[in-house]
Amino acid sequence: MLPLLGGLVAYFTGVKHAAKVSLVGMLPGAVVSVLLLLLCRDTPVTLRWEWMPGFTLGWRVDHISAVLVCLVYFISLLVYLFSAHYLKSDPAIHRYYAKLGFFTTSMLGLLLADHLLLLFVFWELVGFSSYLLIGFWFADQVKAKSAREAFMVNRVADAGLLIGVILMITELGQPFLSEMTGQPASFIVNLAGFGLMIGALGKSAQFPFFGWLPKAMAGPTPVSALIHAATMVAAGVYLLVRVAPILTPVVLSVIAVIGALTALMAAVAALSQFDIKKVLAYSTISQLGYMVMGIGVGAADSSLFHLWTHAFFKAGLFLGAGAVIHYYHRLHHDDHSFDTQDMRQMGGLRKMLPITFISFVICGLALSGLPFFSGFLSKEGILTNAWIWAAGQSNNGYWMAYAVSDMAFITALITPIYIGRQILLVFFGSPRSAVKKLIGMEPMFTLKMPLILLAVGSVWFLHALNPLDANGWWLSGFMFGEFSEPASGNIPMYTMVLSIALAVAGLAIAYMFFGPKSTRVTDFKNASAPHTWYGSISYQSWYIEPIYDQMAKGYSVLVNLAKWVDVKIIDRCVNSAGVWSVVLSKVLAIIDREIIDGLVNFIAWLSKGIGNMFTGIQSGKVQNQLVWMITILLILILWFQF
Amino acid sequence: MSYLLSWLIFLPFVAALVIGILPSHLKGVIKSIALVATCCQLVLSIILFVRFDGSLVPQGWADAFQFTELVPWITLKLGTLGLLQIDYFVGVDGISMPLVVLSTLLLVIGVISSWKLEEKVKGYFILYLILSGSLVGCFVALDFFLFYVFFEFMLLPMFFLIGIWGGPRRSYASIKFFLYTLLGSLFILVVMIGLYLSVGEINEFGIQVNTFSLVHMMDGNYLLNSLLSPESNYAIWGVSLRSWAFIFLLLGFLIKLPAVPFHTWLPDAHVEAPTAISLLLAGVLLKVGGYGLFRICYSIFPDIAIELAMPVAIIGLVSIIYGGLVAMAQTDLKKLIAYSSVSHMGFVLLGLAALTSEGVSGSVFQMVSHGFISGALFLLVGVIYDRTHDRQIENVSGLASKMPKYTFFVVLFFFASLGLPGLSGFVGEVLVLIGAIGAESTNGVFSRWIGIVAVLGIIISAAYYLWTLQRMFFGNYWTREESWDAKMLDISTREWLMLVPLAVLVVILGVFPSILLGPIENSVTFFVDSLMSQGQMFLSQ
Repeated sequence: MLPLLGGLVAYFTGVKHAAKVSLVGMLPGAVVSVLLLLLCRDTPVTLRWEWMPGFTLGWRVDHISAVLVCLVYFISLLVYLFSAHYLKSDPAIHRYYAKLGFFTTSMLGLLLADHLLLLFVFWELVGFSSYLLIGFWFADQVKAKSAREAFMVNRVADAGLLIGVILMITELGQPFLSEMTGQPASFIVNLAGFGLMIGALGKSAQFPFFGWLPKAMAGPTPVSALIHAATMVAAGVYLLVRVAPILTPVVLSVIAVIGALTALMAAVAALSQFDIKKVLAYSTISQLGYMVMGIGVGAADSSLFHLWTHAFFKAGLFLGAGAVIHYYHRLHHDDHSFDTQDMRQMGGLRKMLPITFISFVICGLALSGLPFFSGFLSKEGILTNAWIWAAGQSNNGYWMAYAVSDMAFITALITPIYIGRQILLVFFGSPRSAVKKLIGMEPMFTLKMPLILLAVGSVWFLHALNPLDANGWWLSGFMFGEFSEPASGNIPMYTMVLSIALAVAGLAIAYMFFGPKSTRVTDFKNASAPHTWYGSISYQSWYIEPIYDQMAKGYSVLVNLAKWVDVKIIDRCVNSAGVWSVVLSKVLAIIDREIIDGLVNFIAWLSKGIGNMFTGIQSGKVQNQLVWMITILLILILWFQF
Repeated sequence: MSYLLSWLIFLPFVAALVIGILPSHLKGVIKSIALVATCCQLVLSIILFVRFDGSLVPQGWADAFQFTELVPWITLKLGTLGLLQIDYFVGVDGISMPLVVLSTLLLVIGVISSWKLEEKVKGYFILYLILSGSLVGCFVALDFFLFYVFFEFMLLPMFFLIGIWGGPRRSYASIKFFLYTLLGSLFILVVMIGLYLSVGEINEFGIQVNTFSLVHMMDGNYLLNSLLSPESNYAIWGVSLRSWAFIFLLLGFLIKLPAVPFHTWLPDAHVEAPTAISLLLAGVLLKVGGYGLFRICYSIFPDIAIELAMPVAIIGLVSIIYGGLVAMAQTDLKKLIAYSSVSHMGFVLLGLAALTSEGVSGSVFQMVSHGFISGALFLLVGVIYDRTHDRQIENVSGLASKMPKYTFFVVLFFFASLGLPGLSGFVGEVLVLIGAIGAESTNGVFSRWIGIVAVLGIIISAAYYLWTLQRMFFGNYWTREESWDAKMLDISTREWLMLVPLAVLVVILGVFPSILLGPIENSVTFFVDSLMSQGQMFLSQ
C-alpha cells in the first residue's frame, strides 16, 4: 500500500514536490520488502481473511513472491528516480506519480495474492493503471486510442482468465495458489487451464495478443521500462509458474508452441522497426515468448530466472532509450514535427551520451545472450530445456516438437541482429540529424545512477558465480527449495556452444549490415517502409494490427446490426402493437358509434317516431284516438289469443 | 413493535400533503420540505440497516422478516366465498432491506439534483414524494394486494414526471412507459387473483379465509383443489396453471427489469426524463422488477423456477450481450447508459436464475451496486446536458483537459460499471458469474456454458465505455458550438455533493463487500435453501 499512499500524497502536494514525495513514500516499502524476504526465509507467511461470506481470500509471501517483490521495488525505485528527471517539466507530474504509485501497489498485490480471485483483482488493477499511464498524455488522440486498444486486448484475455479462475473456484475447488495440486486430466481441467493460459498470454503479450504491447509504447518511456518491460508483462509468466501444477500436458504443449512462435515472430518484427521503442517492445515480446515457452517445456525455474535477468537488462535498455528520446526532445523542443523516437534521425550518440551508451551496450549484450552477461545464463537454461523437451516428445512420436526448440534457436540468432542494429544505428556512425552537446543531459543521481545500476545488474556476477552455468543462479535454490531438482542436470555442451555461436554470429551479421561504414547506414535517413513481402511482414509485425482492426470492424458491424434489430424489429413490434391497439380501438369506436350506439339511437328514433304518432293521438282528434285505441286493443287481443 | 417501516412509507406522503397546502410560489420552502422529508427517510433507513439483525437464521418464511407490522386493513364477508382478508402487512428481510436503503439514498440525491428546477415546482415535488413513498412501500409490502397497490401507485407520478418535465419527445416516451408497464402489471394482477383464490386456510369456524399474504403464499398454504396448488391438475394447452402463473409474473417483472426483448421503453423514457427522474428510474424503479422476481415470482413458484431456470438464464444472458452490443451503437450518451442498464440488469436475472447462494447474493449485490453506479452515470450525463443541452457523444471531445474533476468521476463510474475490481460493479458481476458457472455442479439447473458465455459481457461493456471515454474526454478540447465554451465549467458544489457519496459507496462496497453481504447472508441462504427444497417437494407432487 505504501507506494499508493506515496502517490496520493504526491498528487496532493502538487507539481513541485511530487517526485520527491513519491520517492520518500517508496523507501519504507522497499525496506519492508527486504524484511519480508528475511521473514519468509524459513516458512511462508500466510494471511487469510473473509472477504465476503463464503470467500476467504489470502495473502501469502513465499520465496518466489518475496524475491519478485524485491525486484519490483528495485526497478520501481530506479524508474521513479529516472522519471523525476524525464518528466521534470511536465505540468501533470503529480498525476503521473499518483498513477505510478497505484501501479506499483497493484503489482505488489498481484505478487502477494494467494487466492485466484484476489490475483484477478490486482491483475485487472494492474491493467487499469497501465491504461491510465499509456494514456497519460490523453490530449493526444492517438495516444488515447493506443491506451484503449491496449486495454481492450487485455480485457479479452482477462475474460479467459476469469473463466479459468471461476472454474478453478467452483468446479475444482482450488482457489489457493499455494495449495494447488495436480488433477487428472478432464474436460473441465483442460478448460480451466486454457482459460488461465489465455489470461497469461494476454498480459504477457503473446500470440495472438501481442499487438497491444507496441501500442503501449505511447506512454512515457519510464513507464514502458517499468510496466511494459520489467514487471507487468511478466505477470503472465508469473501466473503460469504458479498454476503450473494443474496445467495438463495438452495445455503445456500449447503454451510451449505459442511461446516459441511468439519469440520468433516478435524477433522478426523487431528487425525492421524505425521507432527506437518499438524495437524494444518487440524484443520484450520475444523474450517473454522464451519465458512462456520455458514454462511449457517444464523449465519454470529457468523462466523465472530469465524473468529476473530480463527485468534488469530490459529496464536498462528502455531507460537508455528514454535518455536518447529525452535528449532529442530537448534538442528539438520547438520543432514539433521532429519525431524524437525515429532511429532514422539518430546516430553517433556515443559521444553525446556516454553513460547511456555504455549501459545500453551492456544491456544489449545481455539481451543477445553473450557469455559473461546475465541474459546468457537464463536463456541458456530455457534453450537447453526446450531441446530436452523436444527430444523427449519426439521419442514419444511427436517429432514436430523439434519445431519449438528450432524456433527458439533461430530467435537466439535474430535477437543479436536486431539489438546490434539498434545499437549501431543509434550510437555509432555519424549523426543523421544535427546534434550538439547539451549540458546536464546526464545528471548524476536521477539518470546515471539508474542506468549504471541496471547495467551492473546485467552482468553475470550478480546472479551466479560461474558465468557459464545456467543452473548457478544463487536464488534458484532459495525460490524453489527442494521442489525443483534442476530439470536438466548439467547443461549439455552442444547447446551452449550453439547458442554462443548464434549470438556471436548475430552480432557479426548486424555489424556487417549496419556497421559504421555501411552505405545502408548513411542512407538510412531516407529509408522508407520495406516493400518486399518479407520486409512488410516484419515491419507490419505479421499484420497483427490490421487483423485487430478487421475484428473491430466486424464487431462494429455486429453492433450496428444489433441496433438495427433493436430499432427496426423489437421497437417496431412494440410501436406497431401500440398502433394496432389504437386501430383496434378506433374500429371498436366505430362499431360502438354505428352499431351499438346506433341501436340505441335507433330505438330512440323509433320511440320518437312512435311518440310523434302518439303526439298525434294526443293532439285532440278524438276520432283518431278512438281508432288507435281500438287498433291497439285488437292487436293486444290478437296477441294474447295466439 | 416499532413503526419504522410505516414511518418510512408515510413520511413522504405527509410531506406531499404539506406541500399541497402551501402556495406554489414558495419554491424554496417546497424544495426544503422535500429535502428534509427524504433526508429523514434516509436516516430512518440507516437506522433500519444498523438495527437489522443479520444473525437471525430463519426457520420458515413466517419468521424470515423483521420490523414486521400487521394490521387488518380490509375485511369483507363474501358469503359462501368465505372471507376477504387484506392486511397492511410490512416487513423486511435481507433482500429488501438493502433496496430500501438504496432507494432512500437515491431519493435524497434526486432532490438535490432537482434543486435548480423552476417551473411547476409544487406539482413536481408532490409527485416526487408520492413516488418516494410508494417505492419504499413496494419494497417492504408483505401483502400481495398492498404490494400491487404501491406498484401501481408508482406509475402515475412517474408518468407525469416524465410527461410534464421531460424532453421534447416526452409524451411519446411517457405513454410508452406507462402502457408498457401497465401491461406488465395486468399480468401480475391476473396471477394475484389466482393466488388469492388458491391460498388461505379454513378457520376455526369452518369458514374459508383467503389471503393475500405473501408469507402464506411463500409457505405454500394452498387450499385443497385450488387452481394454483401444486397438486392441481388444471392445465391450459397442456401447460400447468402454475407454469402459466410463473410465466405471467415473469413477463410482468421482466418488463419492469427490463430484459430483452421487453426493454425498448427504457431508453426512450430515460432520454426524455429529467435527470433526477432518470436517476430514480435506473437506480430504483428497475430494482422493483428485480425485487418482484425475488419476492413473488421465485419465492411463490420455486418448482417452476427450477424447471424454467434455463430459459430465464438465457433471457439474462441475451440481455447482457445484446444490451451491451446495442449500447455500443448509440450516439446519445444517455441512451448508451440506458442500454448498459439493460445489460447490467441481465446479470441480476442470470444470478437469480442460477439459484445458488453466490448467484443470488451476487444478484442482490448487483442490484444495489447498479443502483449507485447507474444513478451516478445519469447524474454525470445531467452535468453535461445542463451545460450544453446536448448529449451527443460526437459533439464534444477532449473534456479531460477542460473539466478534470468531472472526468475523474466519469472514469471512476465508467470503470465501476465495466466491472473494475475494487469497485462495486465487479463484486456483483463476479458473484453472479461464479453462481452461473457453478450452477451445473451445485444444483444442475442449467449448463455452465451460459455462465461462460456471459463472461463475454465484461469485454463488451469495456468496449463501449472506453470508446466513449476516448471520444468525449481525450484528445484535443473541442465543442460543436462555440457558445458552449463558456459554460464548460467543472462540476459545481451541488454536483460534487451528489457524486461524492455515490463514489465513496462504490469504492467501499467494492473493497469491503461484506458490509452489505454480511447482514444479508442468512436471508439469501434461507432463500436459496427453501426455494430448492420447496421446489423439489412441489415438483414431486
